[in-house]
Amino acid sequence: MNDNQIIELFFTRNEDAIQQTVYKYGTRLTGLAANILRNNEDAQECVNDTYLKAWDTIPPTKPNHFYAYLAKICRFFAFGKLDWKNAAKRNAEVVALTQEMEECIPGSWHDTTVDSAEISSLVSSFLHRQTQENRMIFVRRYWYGDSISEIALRYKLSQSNVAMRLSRARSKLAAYLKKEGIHV
Amino acid sequence: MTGKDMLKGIQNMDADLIEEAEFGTFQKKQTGFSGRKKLLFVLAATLIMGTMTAAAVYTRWSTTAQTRYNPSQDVKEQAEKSGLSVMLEETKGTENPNEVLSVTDQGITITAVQSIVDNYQAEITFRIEGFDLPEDEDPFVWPTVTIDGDLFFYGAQSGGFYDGTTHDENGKWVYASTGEPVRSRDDEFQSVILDWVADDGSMEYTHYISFQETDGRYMGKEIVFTFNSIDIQGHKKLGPSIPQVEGNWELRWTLTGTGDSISVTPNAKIGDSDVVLLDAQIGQLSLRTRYQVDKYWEGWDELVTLPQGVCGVRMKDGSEHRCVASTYGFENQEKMVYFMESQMFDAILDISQVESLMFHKGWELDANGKPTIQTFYYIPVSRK
Repeated sequence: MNDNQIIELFFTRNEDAIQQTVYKYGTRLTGLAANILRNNEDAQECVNDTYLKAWDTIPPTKPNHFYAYLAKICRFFAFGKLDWKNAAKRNAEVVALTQEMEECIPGSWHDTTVDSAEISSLVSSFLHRQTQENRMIFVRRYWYGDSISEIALRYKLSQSNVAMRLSRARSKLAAYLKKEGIHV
Repeated sequence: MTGKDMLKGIQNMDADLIEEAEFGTFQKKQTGFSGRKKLLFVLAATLIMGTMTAAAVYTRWSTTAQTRYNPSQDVKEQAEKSGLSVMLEETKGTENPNEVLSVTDQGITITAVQSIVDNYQAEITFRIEGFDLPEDEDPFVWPTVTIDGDLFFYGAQSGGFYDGTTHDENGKWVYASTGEPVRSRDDEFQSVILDWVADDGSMEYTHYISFQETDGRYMGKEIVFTFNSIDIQGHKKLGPSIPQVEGNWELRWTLTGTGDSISVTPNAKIGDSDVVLLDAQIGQLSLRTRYQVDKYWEGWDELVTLPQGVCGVRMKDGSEHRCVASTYGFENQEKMVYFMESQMFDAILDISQVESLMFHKGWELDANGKPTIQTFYYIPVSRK
């Protein structure tokens, strides 16, 4: 069943919509939430919340990219559930991710509040200028929260190759954000 | 701003990047013909096929398209005459003598069966033969696609295997072959049992593309599909799918389709809203509608379509077919002109029989206040 057919089930308020969504994307969504939370119960709770949110918002929403729509909801819930104060104890990966992201922030941004839409737009624009391989690695790392070893396994690369590509991407992104600036 | 803010802040990254990283694979580097071990191109179509009568052609659509659209014989005939639907093996070589419509590698043959293409979208169905799907597993493939050598011709891509199921007239999920309700396994997930493999051992995979540009510029250009592995869907979070057979299946042909549509200019208010339907182009599979809105629709920043936008088509015989927007936004923000490009869910239209366009009105509620049946406003189609 393709995405549009599943959305049609949501629109006709057919509860198979949830079952089909679970079937098609459940594993991926659980993986995404578990990457961030490193706790299966919390991850499953996030995914269930995602289905409920989808049920409540479709209709009237007609998502163009159904998987991305679900994944954004799921990622939002997962970060909302993350206990940032104690993250270091439970999830060293999230701490590493925040430190790596810190490298990308131009100095002038540190005292500023930049809204999510603008960051997303700038980072998307940057990524569209990169090679397909490098942007997929970047998105896996910083959007999906994959570890370097998971990315290496997924794309059949060495871990050092992945780490090197990410390091270069961060430097390029920092330079890009500095050049593009922000509009406050 | 901190690293944490940045990590959370990229939440609304472009959807195509999120999906690319989830479903995409690295393209294998081509090192020349010698690198393609055991590669055998199979020229599946024959001249005899090309001499078949039109009446026979209209009966042999892919199972995927036949099940999804359930087209009448008339609609099939119109779709093939207009060029919307092409049974690829049967037209081999007419547009491009170098086309490759079927490739065998590692004992597995992938054949391009049918294309359904208009200015807005393409659905390409492939038959996969020779792959033994492990029991209780679900298949997965993700081809790399180029048009005229370009990777960035699309707004969105998705794909899926024909799973042998459909919905009956009561909305129940049933097996297409028997009409029996879909069964579940007796496991902790109550996972459903799908019918991926046809009686002859083959499977059908359909790739869906929403084009980036919708002026028909991709027609007449070479489209190339490269499959590098046949996978099963992953069970755990580590990796989305598990390769079963790796190889190189590269199929290429000239993309053809139709831009045929009717244009109407209702210039009519939608229900009791202040939104006006300016005009519509109605094709057999896609619609493009334009609206005059009185204020900026903020939802489009969040990938949410205009609530008053078209959601279906009513035919002269009273039947109604639903559609969903695939691309939308402000065509001219200064003049507050909003557009939507929408795709029919489960029908290929006989455009001479379109009676009106449908717009969301509200819901009939059950005793608990939950929405049950959607109601609509209708705007009749008056031809230009």
